[in-house]
Amino acid sequence: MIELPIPEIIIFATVLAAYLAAAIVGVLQLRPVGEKFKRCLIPLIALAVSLEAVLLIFRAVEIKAIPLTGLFESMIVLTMVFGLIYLFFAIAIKEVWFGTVMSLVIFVTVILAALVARPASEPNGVTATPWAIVHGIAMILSGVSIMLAAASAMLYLLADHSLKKKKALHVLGKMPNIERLGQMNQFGLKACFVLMTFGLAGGIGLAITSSAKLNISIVGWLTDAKIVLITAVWVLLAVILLFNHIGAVKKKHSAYITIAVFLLILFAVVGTTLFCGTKHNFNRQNENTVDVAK
Amino acid sequence: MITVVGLNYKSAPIDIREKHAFNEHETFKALQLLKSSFPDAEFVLLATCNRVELYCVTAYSGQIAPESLANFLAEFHKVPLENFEHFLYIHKNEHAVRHLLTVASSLDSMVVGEGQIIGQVKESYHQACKAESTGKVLNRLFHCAFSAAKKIYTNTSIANGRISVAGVAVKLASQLFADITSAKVVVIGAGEMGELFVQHLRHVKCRDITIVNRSYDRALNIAKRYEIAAKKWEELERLLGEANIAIASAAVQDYFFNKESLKNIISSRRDSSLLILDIAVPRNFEPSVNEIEGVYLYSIDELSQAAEENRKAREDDIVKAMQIIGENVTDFMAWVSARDIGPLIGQMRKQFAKISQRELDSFFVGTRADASCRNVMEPMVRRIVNRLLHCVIKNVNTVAKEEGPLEAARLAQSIIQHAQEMSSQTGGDQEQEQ
Repeated sequence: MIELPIPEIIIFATVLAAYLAAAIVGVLQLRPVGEKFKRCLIPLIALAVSLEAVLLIFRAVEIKAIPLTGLFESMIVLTMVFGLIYLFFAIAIKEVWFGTVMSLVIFVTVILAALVARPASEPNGVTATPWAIVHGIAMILSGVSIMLAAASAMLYLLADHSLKKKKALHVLGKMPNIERLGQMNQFGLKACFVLMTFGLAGGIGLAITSSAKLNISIVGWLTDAKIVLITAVWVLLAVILLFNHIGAVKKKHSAYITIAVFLLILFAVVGTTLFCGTKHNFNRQNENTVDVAK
Repeated sequence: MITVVGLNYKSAPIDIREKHAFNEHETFKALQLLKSSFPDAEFVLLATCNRVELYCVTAYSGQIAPESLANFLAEFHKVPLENFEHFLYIHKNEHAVRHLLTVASSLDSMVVGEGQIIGQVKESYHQACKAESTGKVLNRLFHCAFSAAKKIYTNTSIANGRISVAGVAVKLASQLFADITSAKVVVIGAGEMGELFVQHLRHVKCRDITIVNRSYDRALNIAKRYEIAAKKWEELERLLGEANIAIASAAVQDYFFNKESLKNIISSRRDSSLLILDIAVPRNFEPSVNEIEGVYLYSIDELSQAAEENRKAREDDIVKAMQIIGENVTDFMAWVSARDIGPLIGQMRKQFAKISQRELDSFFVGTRADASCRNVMEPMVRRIVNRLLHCVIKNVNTVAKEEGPLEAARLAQSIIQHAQEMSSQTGGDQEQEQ
């Protein structure tokens, strides 16, 4: 994050502060007299989302292109969409736990974004191809879907635990009902699978048409940590959905698997960049070079 | 003077309340009649299924006796006053203000925290505005009630949860099932408690309820009463296998179902939840049944505990809500006092000034008419009178704070009256002197 230009640091620090405040408010509102904090959540998230949009505009002006090529920008877009989903759903879902889980998940995601924050770099030539556009958009939306599924899964497990332990007052009127949470979880999983399928198809198309430009061989693609993990997640999603369809897996187990898939996707997106190194990079520096991120 | 005359579900039985019901048209008509009979007064009529209350504001000089308002209610519905007089309650001034704020924030409702009442109060106020029967005081009072209710709903969790055991059970069911109206309910046993739960489930429009009892006739009896289905005891296991909610209230010596037997019964069902409300003593279900995935077992004690926790949480909220109401009542009454006593104090000033002027005029007559000291004496007398008047005003304000605006107004009016008498006497003295 420190590598960012000063204006971007200021904006991003404010975004972090707003999401941190939202996460704190999210927790505070669960206290017996905490409902009054609820009204702060929407303005805080709206502020953070607006500032993120400003940050992206800064970058767009700088590189004179849509700033979706770097991992940092993708993460910013992801948190923006998470934020917008919260703002949209907050109209219908009044239960405080929904806001709490969403604010915490968004905060974790924005922290991960801070870990991969890099200055804006010009996009690689291949990013303008339809394959890359389909790939990028589908993958971001699949990330949003799995986040929704994971948030529902967490709420489901919390509600189930509280009801089993006879702590009914912890959930009554504070959480969406268990059946709806199960439905939201399933919807998120299905949407994630469909979008990821499009994303992978786009990625395969991109690999076939632009491998030379990206300087990656077929073997390089097949052994890249990020791609291997995402493919594994896709297979896992297909298996869960199949099992769910035939009724071979309980909702509770499905919820645990959803959270695992979400964490796996986060690791595939951020972890591989931080710890393993990946050639899955569409910056200009990567054009005909092998750029292994730290 | 603010007065409320009314009757509610606490003070009057339903047959009395029915006779005093007002529909929209009748409310409008009643308000117009009142306004034409008492053009200087302000009126709002709050009529819901649980209460009929007539709010009235008059000047202290033109008070309307509460009995006249009660008479109006009697005449409007053509019900003799003696038939419902003893069901009526009358609140005045601060008590009337407190009553409205308590009603608007649902603290006086059957179910504390219900959200319907604030809408009904708003609707009544809008009706009164349409009928042009409100004025400055009632406008301010009702807006004060809306803001107090909003503050209470925002700053307390009064709107969450229900109090009764059956209410908690219904809430639990709503927490598990997206659409409680289509949930399959099986009631085991035809006891009183089971019946109470059926009532609550029917109240939330639960359609698919089946009662099973050893005595089929008794089950059939209850089924007819609540328009639900009744099945024979032999079908219990099949029904339980398909149910979403089971209410167990059968009299038994030992558990009907243990973990293994229930597992077998529900083994064929797909991944749907089963809420078991075991309200029988001794219990019908072994406690370990709760360990089965997707099964949520609540005994009567656990439901009572949840209801009790809920009630305690609500008690704190009610105390907090009453504090908010108290603050709002104080603010409103301070505004009313200032508004009522202000003109009276103005009158007092006028009368005192009149007395001093008359005294000065009576002194500077004849040879003293052109005395040079008049220019000095006149402002001095005015200063003395103003200082004395300041003491009187202070005293009136103290009375307003301690005994209410009505007493303060009475005191101010009696001072004005005395001052008027004195000023007329002063005129008499002057004549005698001449």
